[in-house]
Amino acid sequence: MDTSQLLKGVLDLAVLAVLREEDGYGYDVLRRLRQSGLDEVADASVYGTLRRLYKADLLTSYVVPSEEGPHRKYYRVSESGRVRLEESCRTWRTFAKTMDQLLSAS
Amino acid sequence: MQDVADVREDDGSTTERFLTRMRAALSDLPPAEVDELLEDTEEHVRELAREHGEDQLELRLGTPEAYAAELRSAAGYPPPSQPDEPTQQIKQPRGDGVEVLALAGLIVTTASALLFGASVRSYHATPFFLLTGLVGLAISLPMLTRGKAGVEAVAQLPTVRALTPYLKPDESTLTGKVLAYVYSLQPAWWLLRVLPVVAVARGGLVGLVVLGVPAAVISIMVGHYSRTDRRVLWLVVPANALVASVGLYYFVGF
Repeated sequence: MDTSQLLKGVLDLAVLAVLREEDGYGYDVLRRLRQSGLDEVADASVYGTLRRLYKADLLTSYVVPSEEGPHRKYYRVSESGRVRLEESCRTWRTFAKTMDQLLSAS
Repeated sequence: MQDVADVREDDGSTTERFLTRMRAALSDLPPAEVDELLEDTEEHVRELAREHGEDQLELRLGTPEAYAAELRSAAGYPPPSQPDEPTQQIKQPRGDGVEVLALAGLIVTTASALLFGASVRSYHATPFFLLTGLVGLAISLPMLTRGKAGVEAVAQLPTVRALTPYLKPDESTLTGKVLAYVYSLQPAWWLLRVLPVVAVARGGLVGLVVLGVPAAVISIMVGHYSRTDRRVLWLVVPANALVASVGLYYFVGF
């Protein structure tokens, strides 16, 4: 099955989950997603998703000066982001459980 | 490792062309938004070019246009062919008549059940409310046959969304706390609503056991099930209304 199709629906959740652990900048989020096993995730979808979540006030951002290279924009999960993450988490668990049951039944 | 100065020179060619084409593919969006959108990305593209060589850029990222399209769709903007309203999220509920009809149906059926229960004493009005109740149910059918997704669409109607603060109370406010507490009593209601059923049967203690216990079990099961499949609400809410009005009639004497 094509994982990238599945990923579309849960990328918001994955990005929020990665940032809940620790604030991160764009490339950092991408790398952590890949390290977690989502190696098919496309760069552009992660950057686009970060921007969208930021605009929806689910993330806040701050700039950290860097010694080498340009300054980095870090993202942090906002209060409403945490609420959304919890909601999505519940939705995901229910969904995954349903699918598991469905698949093990067949 | 390449020398830093070399890399800077290289940037003037392929990488910059890649970025320019990406920017061009986003040119219909407000310039400030494009800057924000590309802020992280540009850095990433440059880094990739430094790390793996510029000729690897399209191999790894695809064409600048494809990359821009992916970025755009993930950020929630419509594709460029669809003009305007870039600040709007694309995911708007479709909201056709079926949902409105289903919501109206729910209200009609519930009101009918309430009045049906209240009018049991004056028999002449009863068939009328039975009829309106069935009509309400019938006009909800087109939505109900769409499966659980249909209910989701009803929940997205502006009227229903306006009720969200009351249906999903914010517990940081006093009103929210009170509402949340009331909602937490729901399982008690599942038991309570069985009482009028038993009372109507007039079976005394035997009736309570024979009728009340199975009714309570069914009531609790329905209660739990309705939390996962909201379609049941189209039957449960009118049934609750009926039970409440019959209950008031029996126990309070309305």
